[in-house]
Amino acid sequence: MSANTKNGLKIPAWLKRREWLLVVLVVLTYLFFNSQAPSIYTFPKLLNQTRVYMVDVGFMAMGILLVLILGDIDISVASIAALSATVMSVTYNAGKGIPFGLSIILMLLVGAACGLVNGLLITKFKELFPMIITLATSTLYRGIAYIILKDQSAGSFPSWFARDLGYGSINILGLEFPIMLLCLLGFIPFYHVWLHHTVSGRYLFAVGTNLTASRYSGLKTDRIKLTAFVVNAMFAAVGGFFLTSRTGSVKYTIGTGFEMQAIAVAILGGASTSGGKGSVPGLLLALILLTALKNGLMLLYNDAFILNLAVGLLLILVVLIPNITSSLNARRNVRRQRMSLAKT
Amino acid sequence: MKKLISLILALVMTLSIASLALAEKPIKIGVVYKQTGNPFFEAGVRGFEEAQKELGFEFIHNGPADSSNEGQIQIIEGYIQQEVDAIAISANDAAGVVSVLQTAMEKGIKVISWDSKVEAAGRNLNIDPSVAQNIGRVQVEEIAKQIGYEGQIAILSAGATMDNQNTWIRYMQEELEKPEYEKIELVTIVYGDDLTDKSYQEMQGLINSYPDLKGVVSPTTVGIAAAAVAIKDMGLSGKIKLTGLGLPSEMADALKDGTCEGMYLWNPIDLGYVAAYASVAMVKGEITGAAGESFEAGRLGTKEIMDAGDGGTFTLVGDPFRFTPENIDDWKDVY
Repeated sequence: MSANTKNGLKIPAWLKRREWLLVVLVVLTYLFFNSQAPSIYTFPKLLNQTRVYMVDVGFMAMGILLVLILGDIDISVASIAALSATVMSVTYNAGKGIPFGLSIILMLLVGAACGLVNGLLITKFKELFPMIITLATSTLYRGIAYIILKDQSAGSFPSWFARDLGYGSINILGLEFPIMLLCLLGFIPFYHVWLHHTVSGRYLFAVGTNLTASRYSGLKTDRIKLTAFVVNAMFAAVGGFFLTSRTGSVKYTIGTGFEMQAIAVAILGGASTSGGKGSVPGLLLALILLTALKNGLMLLYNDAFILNLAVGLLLILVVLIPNITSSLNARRNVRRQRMSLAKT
Repeated sequence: MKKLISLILALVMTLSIASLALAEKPIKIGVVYKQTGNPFFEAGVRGFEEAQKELGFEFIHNGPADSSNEGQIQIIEGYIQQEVDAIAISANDAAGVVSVLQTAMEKGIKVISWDSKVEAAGRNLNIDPSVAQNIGRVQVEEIAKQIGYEGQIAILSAGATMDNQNTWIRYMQEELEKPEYEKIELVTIVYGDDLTDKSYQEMQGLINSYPDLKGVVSPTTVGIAAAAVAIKDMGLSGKIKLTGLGLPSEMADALKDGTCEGMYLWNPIDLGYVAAYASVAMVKGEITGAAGESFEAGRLGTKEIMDAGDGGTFTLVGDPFRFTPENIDDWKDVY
């Protein structure tokens, strides 16, 4: 780390990363709400709330991130989660159907199938925007869930799923960690290493940065895209799995609007809809930030509308700040060059 | 002298802190309803406010914007975090909030369901507006009278996972088995999820799919209001009869212009009022929610707790009241 302190203003490159902005925001958010509600908004209690705001959306965001890195988008993830959770609950049929383990496998397969359909449509019909295709499949998947369940709900899952996974926690160093949070935190390192430090993970960035160059370098870009959509859909199914463990019952409307939350997390974490960008630590920090912010707002205002408003403002803020600072830097450089020219 | 003053000051401070700690924390109730912006629940909250003036507890209230189960869970988790003493909920999905409410009960929070119940495993007590059988029966009697005991009818319900709706519909179907209704055919049950636009579309769908439809029963305040607008918009006022459970303030126009000749409802203010009294009695330990107990509910007198037949218990608030074009003016400004 060669921090250049010659003129005191120059910030080393590693400090300029989006992650540090998020860290600062997390700390500020925590300090603000903690001062507003010192006895309620504490770290142990926040830890308990992670299952509400962090886990299901987190898995969906991990999937979405892959698609965003490619420069595509998928807004059908919440519907995929709903359809796969529906299949899981209907095949298990409150213990009267197939064993629960099999219905979980079936759930993942349904997710993968949905992703395959998305991926095939997107790679075969390049003239159509992924946004439009997944908007259509989004209503399609939720429509199938409706045909299966109608207006009823299905549930009565085994207690290890609906009670232990959904609401259980493990005591680590005196802190109660929700089991589902540990699942998320345990998975993220593997995901990080794969995405950032393996060849197949780097392919995604290559294709997202320059599709044509990647193709001419011999990458099978269509196959990479197709795989990304399938993996993304399976992440969505896993998100639906964790969501169902909290609700204990599945209705066709389950998870409505979660796709936007997942996209927001990925974008906040450093992804861009134009592709080639994205980071796993950023995603995790964005999840923590949103959990801290939403829970605080929920406590202070007790109003779901304010939650959405704040997330919107935050998105604009975090996406704008790097742009503003870089344009300010550019302007300062121009001024400095002019001054040095004037001296000579 | 300075020392003395500082000593006195220090003493006063410690005493005031000690008295603060000793002062009894007021009872805090977290109210959850099916959705925000629903006038029925706004009236229910007025019942809580009324009881609050008499009993002096604190309460917060909230509901999801989209009638979703996940939204209710999010709100309940927030209430658990704030360590409320009781949660009073009207559930969107009777099964979907059981796990989270069990976690609440494990932490010593009392759970009362009101309006739409939670499954027995997830509650201490349910507050029913009225005997469910009566609520089902009066609506069938009303629609039968309006259509002349002959022809097709349909039901426009709220959500298929809302327990109160299902129970009433089941009693309506039982009532329709009776010989005097043998010429009435219940063609379908549709669900508007207590969303105005979806209910409106479902009503339009009914009119289009069943050209011989004579009447519609909508046992939900959102549904009946949306159905009245749909019937009026299609110029079918009086041709397709409408009854159900409606809020006087929302249905006054429909009752006056003949779209709806008569409808029922109980007083949602009383419902919230009794739920508040039950919550406080339970937090104070006066009742546990077991069948055979009873509690005082202010101006509404003593309320008995009975076996609900689903493994849990319930208590009743009152009887459904019939609103007609003649008496609607007395009620439309009340709720």
